[in-house]
Amino acid sequence: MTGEVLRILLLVLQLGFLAILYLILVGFSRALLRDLRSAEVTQMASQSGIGRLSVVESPDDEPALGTAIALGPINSIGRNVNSTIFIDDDFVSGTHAMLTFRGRSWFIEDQGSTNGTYVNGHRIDRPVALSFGDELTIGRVRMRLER
Amino acid sequence: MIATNIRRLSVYLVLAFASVSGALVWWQVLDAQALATRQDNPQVIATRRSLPRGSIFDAQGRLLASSVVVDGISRRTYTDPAFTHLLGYASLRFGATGVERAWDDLLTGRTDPNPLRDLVNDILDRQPNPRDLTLTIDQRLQDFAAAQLGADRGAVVAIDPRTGAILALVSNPSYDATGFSGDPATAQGAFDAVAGAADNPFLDRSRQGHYTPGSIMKVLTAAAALDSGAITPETTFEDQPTEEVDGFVVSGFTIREHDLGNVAPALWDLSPALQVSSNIYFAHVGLELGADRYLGYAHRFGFCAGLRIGTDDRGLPVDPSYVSAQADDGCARFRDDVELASAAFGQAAVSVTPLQMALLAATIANGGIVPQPYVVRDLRSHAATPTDGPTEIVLEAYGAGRGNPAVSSQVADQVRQVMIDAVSGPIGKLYAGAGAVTRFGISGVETAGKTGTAERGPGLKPHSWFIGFAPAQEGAIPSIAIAVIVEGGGSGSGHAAPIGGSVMAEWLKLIAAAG
Amino acid sequence: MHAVPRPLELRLLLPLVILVPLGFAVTHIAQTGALDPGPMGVAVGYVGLMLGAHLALRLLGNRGDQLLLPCVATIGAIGIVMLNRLPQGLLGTDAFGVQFGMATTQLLWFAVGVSAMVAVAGRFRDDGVLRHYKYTWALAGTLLLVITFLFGREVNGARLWIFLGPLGFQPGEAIKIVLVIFIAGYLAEKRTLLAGASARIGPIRIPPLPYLLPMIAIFVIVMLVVVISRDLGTALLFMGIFLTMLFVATGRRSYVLLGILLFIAGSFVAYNLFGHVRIRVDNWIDPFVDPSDRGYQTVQALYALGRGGLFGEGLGQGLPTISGHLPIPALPTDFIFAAVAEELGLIGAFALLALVMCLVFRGLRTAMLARDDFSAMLAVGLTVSLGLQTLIIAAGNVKLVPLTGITFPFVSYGGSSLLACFVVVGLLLAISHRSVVDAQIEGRGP
Repeated sequence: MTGEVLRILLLVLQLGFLAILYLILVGFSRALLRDLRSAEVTQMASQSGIGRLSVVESPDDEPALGTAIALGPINSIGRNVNSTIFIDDDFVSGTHAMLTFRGRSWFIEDQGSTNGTYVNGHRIDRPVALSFGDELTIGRVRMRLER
Repeated sequence: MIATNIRRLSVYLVLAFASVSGALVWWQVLDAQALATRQDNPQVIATRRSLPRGSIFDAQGRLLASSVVVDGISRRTYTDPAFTHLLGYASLRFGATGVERAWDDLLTGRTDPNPLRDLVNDILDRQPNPRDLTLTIDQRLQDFAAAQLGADRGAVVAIDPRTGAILALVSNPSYDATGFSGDPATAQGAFDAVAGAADNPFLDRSRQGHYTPGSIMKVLTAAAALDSGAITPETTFEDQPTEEVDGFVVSGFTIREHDLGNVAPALWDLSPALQVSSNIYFAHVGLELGADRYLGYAHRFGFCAGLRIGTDDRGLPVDPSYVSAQADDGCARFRDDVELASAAFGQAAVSVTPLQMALLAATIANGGIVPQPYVVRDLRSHAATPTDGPTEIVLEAYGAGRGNPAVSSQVADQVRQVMIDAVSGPIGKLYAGAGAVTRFGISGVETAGKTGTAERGPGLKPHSWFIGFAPAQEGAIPSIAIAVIVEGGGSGSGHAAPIGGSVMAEWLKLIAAAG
Repeated sequence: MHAVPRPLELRLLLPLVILVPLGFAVTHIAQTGALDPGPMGVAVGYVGLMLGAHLALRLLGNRGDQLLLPCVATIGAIGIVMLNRLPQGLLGTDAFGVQFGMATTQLLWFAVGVSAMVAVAGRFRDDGVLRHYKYTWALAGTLLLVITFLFGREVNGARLWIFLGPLGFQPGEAIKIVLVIFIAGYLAEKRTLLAGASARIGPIRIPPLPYLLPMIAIFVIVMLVVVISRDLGTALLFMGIFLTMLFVATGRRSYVLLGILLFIAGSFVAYNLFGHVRIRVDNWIDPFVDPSDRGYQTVQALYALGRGGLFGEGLGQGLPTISGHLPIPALPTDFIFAAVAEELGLIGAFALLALVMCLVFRGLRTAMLARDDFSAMLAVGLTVSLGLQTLIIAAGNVKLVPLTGITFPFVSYGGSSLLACFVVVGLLLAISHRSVVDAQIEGRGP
C-alpha cells in the first residue's frame, strides 16, 4: 500500500508542477493585459503627432541638443525666424529645406540652399522619402526623424 | 504604419499557434484512442512483452489460450489449432490478430471496463490488471466441425439464429500460433513456416474468403421476391418448359439450365423450382424483382458493407459480400439484365463470405430478422490457475445485439417451408438430402437447407456449398444455422451438405445431453 | 549607467525557485519509485543563473521589457526539467577530459547564452554598428555559410557543423541573426520606396524589383547554400522570416503570397529533385506506410502525443525510453515538444505554446514602441525568428507540416541554438531599453 501512497503523492506533485506553470502564465497575462491598457493610452497620446525631429548635434544650441521638435504636416526649415523649424546656424540658408508629410511618408526637399541638405550623410538633389530613424544634416545641425 | 502591419502580423501568428494547438487536440484527445490500440504502439508492445495476459476459455470453461511470464517475458500458449483463426495470436514480433487484437486492451488490462476506475488507474499509473474472456463457442462443436472438414480447404460457420452467438467458426487449413508468441528465438521460424505453407493458412476463410455462392443465393432471391410481392409461392413462369430445353434468352444472352439429372422439366412453382434448383426459374424471379429492389434486399441482409462479429467499437471485422461488382461505397449498379438474372441464381459477380451465408440461413430461421453475430460471451476477472477454468466473477457480459429486420416473418416462414422441401421434398432429397440431420442419428427433426455448386469457370472444380438450419419444423425454434463451403468440393450435395447435416446433428445432440 | 529596479521581472522569476526543483524531484521520484528528490545541482544552477541574469540587467541599468527574461526562463525551465529526466549518457559532451551529462551540458550552454544576452543587452545601446554596416554583416554571414558548406562536418545527412577541436557549433544559427539585421537595415532604408512605388501588370502588383534586387540577391544566395546543405528547416525558417519582414515593411499581402507561391514551386522542384526531401514529404503525408523505418520517428511522436492525452502521463512517467533506448532518437532535439506533450499532456503543451506566444507578443510590442524603422524592423525580424522556429518544429511534431530538423527555442538540447536564441533576446532587450529611454527624454522635451 505504500506504493499507492507514493503514487498519490507523485500525482499531487505533478499537478503542483502544472499548477505553478499556470500560475506563472496568469502572472504573464495580467502583465500583458495591464500593458495593453496603458499602450492604448500612449497610443492615443502619440497619434496626435505624425513624427518629430530629435536634435542629435547642435553646436550653437539653437535648437537645443536633446530636444524633440513636434512636426506638423508641412515644415519649413531655415534661418528665417518664420520657419517652422528655426535653426540659428551660420551654415544654414534662410529657407533651407521643406520637410513634408505626404500620404504615408515623410519627404525632404532642398530649397536651393547654399550648403545643401544631407540625408544619412548623402547630399540630396531632389525630394527624398524618409524613414523613421533617418538623420538630416542641415548646416552643422544633425536631427533624427522619429515616430 | 509599421505598427498596423505588426498588429496584423500578430493576428496571423495567433492563427498559426491556434492551428498547432488544434492539431495537438486532434492527436491527444480526439484520435488518442485509435493511436493507443495500434499494434506497433510501443506501449502496446511493452505491456504485451512483460505483463501477464488474460486467458481465453470456451463456452464450457475449457482453456483455449493462456500466458505465463518466463524471465520477464510473457509467453502465450494456445491449446487448440481449430481456434487459431478466431483467436488470432498476440506476438511481440508479429503484432496481434483476431480476438487477441480486438480485446487486447482488456486482456492485458490496459483499460478497465469501468470508465471511472479506468481513469483512476490511469492517473495513479497502476499496474494493469489482466482479464479473461469466455467465448460463445463450445470447443466440442468447433473440433467436430474441423474434423468434418478434415484435410479439405474450406470453412464452417454456425450461428445460434435467436441470439447471433457464434457456435462454430472454422477455417481450414489452420496452424498452431503458439510458436509465434512463445520463445522469441524460434518465433520467426515458426511464422515463416506458416507464411510459406501451401493454401495460405493465414487466411481466415470464414471471414475473409470471397466465394461465388451458386445456388444457395436462391434463398435470398426467393425471400426478397416474396417479401416485395414480386412473386408468390405459387408463381410460375409460362415459358419455362421450352426454355429448359433451349435456354432462356435475356438481352441476347442465353441462360441455360444446369444438368437436372433424371428430373424431367415441368411448369414449376417456387418449391419444386428450389428443389431442383432451377436457374431459369430464379433468373425470371430476379428480373421480376428488378435491380433496385434486389440491391435493396441485399443491403438488408448485410451485403455490400463490412460486417462485424461483435459491436462496432469492439469486434472482429468481416469482409463485405457483394451481389454485383464492387463499388467504392458498396455494390455497384447491375450492368444489365443479364447480370441481374445471373446474380439471382448466385453467379455473375456475386461474391460472398461464409459468415454472410450463415447469417442468411440464420435470418430465415430467426423469422426474417438478421441477428447480430458475436463470439465473446463475457469478460471475467483473471483466473490465477487457468487450467482450473475461469472465475465466476463476470465483469462485463456481451449480449445479443438487436437484429435488423430483412423480410417479414410470414415470408421467412414461406422460405423456411421451401427450404425444408429442398432437403426432404420428393425431388429435393435427391439433391440436398445428405444435409438432413435425420441421416446423423437425430429423429423427429426437420432440416431446412439449400445446396450450392458454385461454377468457377472451365477446368476448375466447383465450390461445394450448403446452408441450412434445424430444427425447422412448424412450431420448433431453430437452435443452429450453418454455412459450409468446401473449396473445389464439387457438387453441394456431395460434399458440403453431409458436413452441414452432421455438424447440426452434433449440436442437437450436445444440447440434448446438456438438458 | 546606473542600476534600475526591475520589480515585475523579479516577481515573475520567483516561481521558478519552486518550479524547477519540483520538476527535478517529481521526475526522480517517478523514475526511482523512492521518496527521494535526487540531485539538485542542475536545478539550483539554472534558477541561480536566471536570477543572476536579472541582477545583471538591473546593475547594467537596462530599462527594457521586463517580461522577456521571465518568459524565456520559464520556457527554458520546462526544457531543462525534460532533459534532466532523460538518460543522461545519451547526449552530452566529453570536453576537457570530463564527461558532462546532457542536462549539465545544457546548463553550461544556458550560462554561455545568458552571459551573451546580458552582454548584448548592455553593449548594443546604439544601433549604428548594426545599421550602417549591413552589407558587411550580410557578407560575413554568407562567408560563414559558405565556409560551413565547404569545411563543415556532416551530421545526420546535413552539413551544418563546424568543429573547433572538441567544440562544435552550427553557424546557421548565427546566420539567422545576421540575415535579420541585414534585411532590417535594408528594408528600413528602402521602406518608403517599396511601399509607394510598384509596377502593375493588369490587376497584379509587381514589387519594384530594382529596389529589392540587392536584398533578394543576397537572400537567394543564402537560401541556395542552405538548401544545398540539406537544411530544410532552416530554409523554411529563413523564407518565413524574409516574407514576414517584407510584409511588415510594406504592408503588401501580395508580396507574401508571391513569395509563398515561389516557395511552393521551389518545394515542388526540390521534391522531385532530392531524395531526402521526398522522403520527408512522403513521411509527412502518411508516416504509417513505413512505421518501422522511415516513418518511425514521426509515428513514435504521434504515439507519444496520444499517450499524453489531456493531462499527460505525468512528469517522469512517459515512455521516452524502452529498455534503455530512446524510441525517438532525436527526442532531446527535434521531438522535445512531443515529449513535453506526452508527460505534461495537452494542458502542459498549451502552457508551453502560450509562453512562446507571450514572448512573441512582447517582442512585437518592443517593435511597435521602437522609435525608428530600423529598430522596429529588427525587433520584428528577431521576434519572428523565435516564433516561426517554434511554429515550424511544433507543427512538425504534430504532423501539420513535414518534420524538419530545427530546434525548439530554449527547450531543445543544443548549444548553438540556445546561444543564438539568447542573443536574440539580448538584442530585443537593447531595443526595448532604447525606446523606453527615448520616451523619457521626450517627456522632458520642450
